[in-house]
Amino acid sequence: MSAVLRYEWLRTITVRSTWVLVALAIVLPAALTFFVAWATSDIVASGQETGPGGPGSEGFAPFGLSQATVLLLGSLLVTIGAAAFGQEYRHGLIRITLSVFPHRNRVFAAKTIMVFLVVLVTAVISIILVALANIGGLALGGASDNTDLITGLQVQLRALVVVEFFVLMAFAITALSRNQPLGILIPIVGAAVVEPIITLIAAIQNWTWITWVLPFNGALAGVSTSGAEAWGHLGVSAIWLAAVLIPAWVLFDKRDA
Amino acid sequence: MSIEVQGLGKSFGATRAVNDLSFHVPDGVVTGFLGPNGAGKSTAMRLMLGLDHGEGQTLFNGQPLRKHPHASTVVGTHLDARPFLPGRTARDHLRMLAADARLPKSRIDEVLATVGLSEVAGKRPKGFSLGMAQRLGLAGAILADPDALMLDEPANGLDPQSIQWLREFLRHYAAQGKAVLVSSHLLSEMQLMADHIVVIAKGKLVADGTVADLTSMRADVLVRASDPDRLASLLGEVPVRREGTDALVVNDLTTDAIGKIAFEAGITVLELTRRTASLEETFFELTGGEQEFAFQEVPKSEGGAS
Repeated sequence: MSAVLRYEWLRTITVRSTWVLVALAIVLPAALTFFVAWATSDIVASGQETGPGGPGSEGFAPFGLSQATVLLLGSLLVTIGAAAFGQEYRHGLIRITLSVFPHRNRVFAAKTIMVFLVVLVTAVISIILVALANIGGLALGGASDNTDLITGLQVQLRALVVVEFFVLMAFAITALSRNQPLGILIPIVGAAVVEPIITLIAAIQNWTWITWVLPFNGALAGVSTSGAEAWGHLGVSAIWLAAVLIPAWVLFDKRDA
Repeated sequence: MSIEVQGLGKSFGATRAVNDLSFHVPDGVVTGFLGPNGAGKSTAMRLMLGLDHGEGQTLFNGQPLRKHPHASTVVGTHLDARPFLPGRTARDHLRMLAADARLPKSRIDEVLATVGLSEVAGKRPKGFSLGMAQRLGLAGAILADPDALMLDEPANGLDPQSIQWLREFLRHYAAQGKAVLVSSHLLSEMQLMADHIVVIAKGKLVADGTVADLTSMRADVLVRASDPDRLASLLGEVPVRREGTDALVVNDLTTDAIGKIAFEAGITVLELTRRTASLEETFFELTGGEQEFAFQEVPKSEGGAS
């Protein structure tokens, strides 16, 4: 198993796009958070934002983590997930990989683990930088981040789970479809375009349950809500992930390379 | 190391791509794997490696590839013309492949030098010619110094010097007691490169033997004599046919035997030649009409080009 993990590690780090995406994922959310924190610092300082959406409540981007920030981070990293299989199928490398490592379950497991770890490290750094950028932006505007530490850490943890969910969905969709663009597009377009439209229609129809079944907006709700509700959303996301990842794994073992 | 292919089979819908295919790839020699387009060569090679699922099994030194702890030291493969990511440098591509056998960096440089790609080791291969891509593919295959090589059309895109180099390299590689299986459409090249030939058509084995065995399948003796009719009658039950006014084509007798019979009968022998078919002729005879997507026959032109 260590050999195939080493192979996956080298596969991941020896392409420039990985480093570009990691750099963007670290820099962009932090830069955006800094700008938003600075731009909204006067509102924060004036104390007009009490209640759901105010500082200190989970709704107002604790430690700078809004749904938009998490979606941006996830969108930047989905390509790393999709590329794990996408690059190999697109360029016929999968046949070399499976000649060197004939045990397909080990290959699938190694790819899953490596994508998970690379995204974990990148997302942790990014989330910490977002928190620092939030403090810096608010401070520049004369305000301060009053987020409760425990609440903030919980949101950070859930944001991490959401980012991993987006990336592993991209990974699983690509493995299932053998189509990298599809693996990248479905999470991003699903979260940013399709599901908001569905949510809008659902709001008109008064379907309050809709966020409990949508995979991507449901996952993002895990950041904007708190407590059991937030973890409930992430639980639903885990079911979605299993529904795509398990067939992808089974078919990877059964299909011709 | 030898490779034992046992009862491979594979269907794509109603099409039987590979049908009960069994053969042996001996060590110490280069084995040519021949067949017309669509004969099932590539599918068979993928089945051998477990890349495609089907019937039968392939044993590498008596064991399926999955049972070997380090597959890259058992068999090196080169199945696709451009089997690499265009954005990953040639050296990094090999670094990645070296992960299984924990090969030192020096081995990567050594292999790059062997295939003549040292100067472009740090370059991304998106601009590589087909010939350079084939070399990089070969470098990947030989990286872990495996006991067997399986190469699918490795000479495609290579210039004549590179083909000559490849031929000598593979013969040298096999001579170290390793098994080398090479599929190719270049029959004349295969005649020079391979000692052992496996021919398939429509997924079925049609010939398996040494090049000499195969080409001698169509061997005959041409004898031009002063009295061909009398000579024919003296040859008895041996298959004989007339060719031209004074020649006989004799099967199943050696030139020595025919010469002796003619001498003892006092018949003057004007020409006595043993004729063997080229590998190409044998191939066409073995696989005649078996091409999956046959060309329309070209009408014979009257008169040559002036």
